[in-house]
Amino acid sequence: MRAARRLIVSVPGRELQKIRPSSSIFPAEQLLDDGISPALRDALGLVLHHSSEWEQPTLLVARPEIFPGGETLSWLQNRIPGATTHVAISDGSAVKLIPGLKNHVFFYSFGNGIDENVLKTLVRRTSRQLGALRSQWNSAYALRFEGKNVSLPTTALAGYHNPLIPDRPLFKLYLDKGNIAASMETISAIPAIDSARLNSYSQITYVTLTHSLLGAEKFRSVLGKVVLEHFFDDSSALVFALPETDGKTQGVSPSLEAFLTAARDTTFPIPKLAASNIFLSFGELSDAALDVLDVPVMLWLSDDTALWRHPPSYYQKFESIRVYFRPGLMREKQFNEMAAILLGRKFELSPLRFPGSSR
Amino acid sequence: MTNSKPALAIEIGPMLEDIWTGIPVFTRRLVSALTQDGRLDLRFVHNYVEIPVDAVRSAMVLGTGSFLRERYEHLAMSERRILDLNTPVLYPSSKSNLGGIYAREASTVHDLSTLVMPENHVEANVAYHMDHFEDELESNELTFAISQSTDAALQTAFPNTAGRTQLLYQYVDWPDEFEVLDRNSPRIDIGRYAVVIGTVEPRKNLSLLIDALSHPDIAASEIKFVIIGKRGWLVDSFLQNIPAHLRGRLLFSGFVSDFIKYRLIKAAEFMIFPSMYEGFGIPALEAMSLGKPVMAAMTSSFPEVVGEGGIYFDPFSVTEFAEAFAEIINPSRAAELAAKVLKQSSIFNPPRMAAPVVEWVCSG
Repeated sequence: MRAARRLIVSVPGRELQKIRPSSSIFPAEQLLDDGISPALRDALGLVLHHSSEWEQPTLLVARPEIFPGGETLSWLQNRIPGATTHVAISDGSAVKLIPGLKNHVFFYSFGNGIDENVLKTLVRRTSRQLGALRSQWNSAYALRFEGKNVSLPTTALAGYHNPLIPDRPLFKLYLDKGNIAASMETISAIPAIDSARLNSYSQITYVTLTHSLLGAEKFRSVLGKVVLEHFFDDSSALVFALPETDGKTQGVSPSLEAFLTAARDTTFPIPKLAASNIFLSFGELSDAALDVLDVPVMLWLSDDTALWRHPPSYYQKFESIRVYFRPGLMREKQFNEMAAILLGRKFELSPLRFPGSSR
Repeated sequence: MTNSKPALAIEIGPMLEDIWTGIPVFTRRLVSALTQDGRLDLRFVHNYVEIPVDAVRSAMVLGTGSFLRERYEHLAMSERRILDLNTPVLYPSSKSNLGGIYAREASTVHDLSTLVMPENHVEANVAYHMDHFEDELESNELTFAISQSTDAALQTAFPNTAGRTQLLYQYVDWPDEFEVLDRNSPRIDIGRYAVVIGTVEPRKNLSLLIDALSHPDIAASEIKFVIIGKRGWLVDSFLQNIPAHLRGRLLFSGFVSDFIKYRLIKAAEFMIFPSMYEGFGIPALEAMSLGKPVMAAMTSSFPEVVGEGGIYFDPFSVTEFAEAFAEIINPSRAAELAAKVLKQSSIFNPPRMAAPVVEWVCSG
């Protein structure tokens, strides 16, 4: 990222509905103290961490869209002297631009419960607006403009600290393909285990899931296959970190239901019994939980996982990293370059395509 | 005898509403302005079917679309004619049907709030306005924007509209009889007050006024606030957060007729328009047309509509709101503003509304 005079940040309108900023423009750090969602807090924190490259303090404009031009835009410009760059931290429902500045977008919610369909709808409705952006921060979406897939360049901002993740128990997988609700009840009824127990296995495959990955038909085959393989090899463990909710959804059952539904919809038969070595965690494992593991851990990720939530040092904990990649949605070269920065190490890119597919 | 004037058809779908507010009123004003201008052979159409001119004129006299809709729905088969596809067609709002049917089409963009503030709308409403919007713009020979602000937002979001937009400013036209009726009606006797436009919904930003009520300068003043518009479902929860002795300062009119609105504005000292975002903000113009200055949020279209007839504040800042309030109730400043508002409101007039439309039609 090139140094510039001042960075301006904006956030989705829905995040401002629960809080009342004291003015339209204020130091961006102030928002971290307000009631914003954990996902936005992470994203804003990352942007601010990297904003030391700008010469003047980063400001947040509460509603850039109310200053579209003319006198209102002049009024705004007078209150953000030196501003050259604007990043719209976006949940995909809207992307706000400030005329006269270099506008960028940071799609922050994906992988944390927000549906990618929201972004697809926005692209369909306003493809040309997105084409006016300079770059997308920490994503490599191939967006469709004027009938062609033209990707916005990616600006990669590596994570700087590990998010505070609570210790989470591990639940054993049980799936009755004919009855998801009963499966959920059974899972919660079986005593959960502590993550330290994972050391009794020779190796661990740790899969962090996102809603969009679970919704990808091609991933379901992968899911069914790996689950079945572990049923017949109890020397190694398989741990699924279910997608975290976006703060709007109460409880954890939607993620579990989404996971079980995806597993049910695979063509693989899955034994109707509690797996001794396949576990579910409602969200990512904590640092402490990973640190006590002294067996090799293979990390599997999705291309829409918020890789920036952790610093590159976090990814050194793993024996190997595999990223499931959706070629139609992401630009491969761009994604590779971004992931290399965010992960800070070698990884394997595993395209989700059928055998014989050209894509 | 052949009419030698160039023809223009107005899509009068909005005028089929029973109660005319917002876009139906905009449509009526547009038709009136073009009629007064007289340079075009004005026709009317709905869903490709020509509507008899006399039916539209009658509806405009009555101020409702009830009978017009009845007439449209029961047009005899012999009366139904598809509008000549070579006739230029102007949509006073977004296109309700498939665009690109006529050889020359123009539609009107009022605001882009569904695009830039989707969180303030239900998804169905966003989808209705936005799903085919790019196609609509593509099929337009020209797109009218009702303010520079809307035009700027449009060109930012849809850069390909650059050079293919034109402003279409509306105006205020109170019925002539309102002045006499008001003079002969009992005085509104509620003391000094300001009229406030908006309901307690996020975009209208009435919560700023409610927050500001506790500000010492506003709490100490004797000004009451008459809020015109639906009370809104959030009002009670907002009111709970302000001290009981200040609650009496807020008076909710509910939905009122145009005449009551006229009376409430006329008897007020000034108008407060705290809205976060407006395509145009016609109530501000209504207030100025009655000699009232406007305290407006520094957002969207307000500076171009209110001009020097008002005082502005940051829509998030209680402090700036209180400062603007102190300024507008200052007698010498109020007099200064009062001298400017009629002039400012007069620049929005029927000839100005008609001109860009006539120019477009004649350019073809």
